[in-house]
Amino acid sequence: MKRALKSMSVVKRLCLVLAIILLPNICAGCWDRVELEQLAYVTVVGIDRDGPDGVLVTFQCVIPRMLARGQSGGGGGAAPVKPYTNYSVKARNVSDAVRLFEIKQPHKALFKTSTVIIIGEDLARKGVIPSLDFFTRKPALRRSVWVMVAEGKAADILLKGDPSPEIIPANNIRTAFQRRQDVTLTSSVDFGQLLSKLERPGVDPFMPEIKLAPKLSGGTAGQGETSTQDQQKDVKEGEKQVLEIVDFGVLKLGKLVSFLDITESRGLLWLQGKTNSGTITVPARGASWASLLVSSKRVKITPVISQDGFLFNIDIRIEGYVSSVQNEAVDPTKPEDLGRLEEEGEKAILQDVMAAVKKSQEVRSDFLGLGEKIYETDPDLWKEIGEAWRDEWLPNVQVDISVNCKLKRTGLAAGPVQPIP
Amino acid sequence: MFRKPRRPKTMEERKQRQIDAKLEAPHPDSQELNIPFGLSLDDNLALFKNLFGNASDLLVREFSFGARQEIRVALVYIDGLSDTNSISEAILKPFVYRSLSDDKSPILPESAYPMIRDWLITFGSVKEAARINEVLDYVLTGCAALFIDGTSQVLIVVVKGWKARDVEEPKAEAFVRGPRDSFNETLRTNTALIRRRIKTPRLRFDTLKIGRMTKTDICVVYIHGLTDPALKDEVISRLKRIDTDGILESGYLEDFIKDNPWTPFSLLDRTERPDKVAGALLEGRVAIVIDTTPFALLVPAVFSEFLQAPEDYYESFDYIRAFRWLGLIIATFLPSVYVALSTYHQEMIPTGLVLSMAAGREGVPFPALVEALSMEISFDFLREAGARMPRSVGQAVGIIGALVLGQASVAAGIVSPIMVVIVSLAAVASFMIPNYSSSHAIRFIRFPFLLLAGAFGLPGIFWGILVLLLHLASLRSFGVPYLYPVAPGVPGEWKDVFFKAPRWMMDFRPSLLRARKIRRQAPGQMPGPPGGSSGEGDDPQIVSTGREKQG
Repeated sequence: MKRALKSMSVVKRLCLVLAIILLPNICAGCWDRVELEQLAYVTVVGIDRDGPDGVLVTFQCVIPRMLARGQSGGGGGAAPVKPYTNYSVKARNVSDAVRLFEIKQPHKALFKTSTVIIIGEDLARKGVIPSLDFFTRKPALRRSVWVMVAEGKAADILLKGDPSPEIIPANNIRTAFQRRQDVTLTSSVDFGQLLSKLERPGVDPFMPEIKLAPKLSGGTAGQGETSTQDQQKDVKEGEKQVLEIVDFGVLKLGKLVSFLDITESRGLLWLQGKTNSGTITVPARGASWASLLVSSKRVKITPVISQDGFLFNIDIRIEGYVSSVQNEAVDPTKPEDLGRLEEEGEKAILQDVMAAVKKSQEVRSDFLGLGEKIYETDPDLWKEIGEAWRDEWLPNVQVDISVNCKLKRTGLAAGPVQPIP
Repeated sequence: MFRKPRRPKTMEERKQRQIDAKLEAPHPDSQELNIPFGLSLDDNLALFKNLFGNASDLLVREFSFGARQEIRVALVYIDGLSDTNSISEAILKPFVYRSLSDDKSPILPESAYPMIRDWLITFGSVKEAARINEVLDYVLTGCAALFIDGTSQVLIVVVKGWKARDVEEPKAEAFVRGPRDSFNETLRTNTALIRRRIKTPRLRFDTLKIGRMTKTDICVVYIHGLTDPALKDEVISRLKRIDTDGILESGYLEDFIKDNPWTPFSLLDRTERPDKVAGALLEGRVAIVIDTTPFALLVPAVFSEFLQAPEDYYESFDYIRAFRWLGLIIATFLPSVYVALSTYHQEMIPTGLVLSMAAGREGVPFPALVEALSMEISFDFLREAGARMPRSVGQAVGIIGALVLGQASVAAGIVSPIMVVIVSLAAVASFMIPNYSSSHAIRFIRFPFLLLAGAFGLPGIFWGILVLLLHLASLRSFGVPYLYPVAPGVPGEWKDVFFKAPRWMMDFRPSLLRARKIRRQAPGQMPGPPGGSSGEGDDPQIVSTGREKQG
């Protein structure tokens, strides 16, 4: 009897194992089959505010067929084919917008190819979290998608942005981030970082800012009169504007509070661990300029908690080399001249960082992550002051910045080139 | 009143009898012929000619010799199977000389036979036979039979010699470095090629005859005292079980002695290279060499062996082995993974790739699965046509096929360019597998995988891999697990699986072959710097001569 029971359970267990093996097959099946050409490859999503409650979502999709044509026959001055198209959808929220988007055009939206989510300024000031909620829940969208804030409307960036020199604007943005990160011009922020910063105590996220560059007179206008029409608005090719990714927009508790200017942005970047190099241009003996190329950087921020308040020791150590000296009187081979250049470099960095700290105190947004340092050193204290940190404590913290710049090399040439009379 | 019916035999017995009767029909009854010849030469010859039905290639030369031509003799052989030179030199000439000799004393009929046997025939290999079927067998294998009047004994002179292909370069196994001889269709040549490599009396050739009509000689080759006797006995017993009318190629045997008859994977290795056979014998395996085919079988065979080429052992540094495993995976799974990713899991493809894949698929009228299947099938058409056509036509097939499949179908928008890349990459990878038979299996299992991928996506592929691995793990080749030494993990023996260790590291033979002597070579043979007392004064003479020359 016992044996019979046992064998039954073995059979049951075998059935269970078989079921476990076979069930995953139902996860995917002919019923979810989508061929590659039946997909809409969304590369950029732009989200704007529309009315008090609605959103205006712009999807920029690649048309792969055009992409191939552009690559193969693009050489000989043929009429440029625009390999992407924009769809703008007004909806109650982003999820709704995606549904309407799929109604508007026949293909299924594929968000895997998305490079960037651009949030319009209006919406960002209202708060980024509600509109991003859809993307936090959707498994198809990766956490590595970059997030940017637009100056003005995100839709304008997508509709008017000039894709050149690449053929689709998303590639421009991608290239910009991949290259410029090294030279302390800008830093990418991906979706995962944004979410983790939003949920961490004592730190506010920042996002790179994208805007349409002011039009240069002359320029490309009037060239491309043969215009293709955009889905939503008629934007002539000639009216396309160059996209600029500079500076940052900073958030406070999930809402955009301000944009940084270039000095503040660089100060922010110096304090970030991510960027390792960059060029500092400093006065060389007053009159002319010298450029220093930073090759490595170490930043240490230590909070000192005392009765009087908070003091942050910011210690920046930089190594670099001389990339250009425009003053013939300065000879980098001489230690005193090199020392002077180092001092100038230190001063420039100090100014940048001070500006960033000031801005942080001014807009009461802790995008430098100073509060997090306190949370790390004294979590109990943070529990008391955390609530009021941004508005009461942050504007009053003291900062002690020390910059140490070491120039190791002078490039290929030792001194400046001297014409022999 | 009624006759009591004869007690019927069991069903099996009756069935066996029926089968035997049907099989025997075209053969001369062996029982009937198992009788000695008579004494009369004429009767014997008549009987023999009658057996062959006056076939034109049966040559009967009757002559008489002796001082007074008193002894009548007849030479019987098959034209084309025997060496006519030897016949005239070693058989006919001595008779003529004897007849012309000075010795005029008549030869007694009783003494004729021993005289001819012992000193008249000047050929090395002479045998005696008395029974009709024996003589028949000898004559059919190319010996000459000498019938002598007045005796029922028949002298057999082994003058086998037929037009055979020379020992040439192997046709089916190409290589760069290694010995260039290969087996041909003559069993003796083949055994000699093996013997030339393994010079030990312990190399044994156990010969069997299989095939009621072909009577094919089959040699089971092993090294006595090294090969596991149980393995050898198993091979022989499996071979003995075969009862068929003909064995024309090693493939016939393969089907009969395979452990699992229903698997696409080949459970025996076959080769036409004597060096490969010798290598296998030295590992403790058994070779089966078959007359009339250059392909010998090696047993047991394991899966990893099909990714080993003999050349791997000749080139000391070998990284290609790992690539072959990669090629195996690509050949098996690449098309199905492409179909799965492109129809179900587009999120898994890198952005740039998915865009160009989509651009290529634009306007293709079929779903990816149909596209892949049709490409695979047409590739197999092409390969088969190229292999079967005469060489001059074959090239044309190749060119047209490549143009049609590669260029025109893409230009016509029937197939996407990436699919062409995928299918041809998989095809090239399948050609990388050195063993032709097992690359067949790999090409075959692509199709179920494609269907699984088309129906269920990646889970389907994984499920298929599971079943495939279960199947492979269940296979055995003469008692050795097919995935050895990976699946019954013997990590110490992975020196020859994913990469080939240097020769001095492979001190032991594969353990599951149960060779009697497991050690292959003396340990510690890793080459090092010149040993002994190295230093200046080591070889003063050479040093001094060097100095003299400099001076």
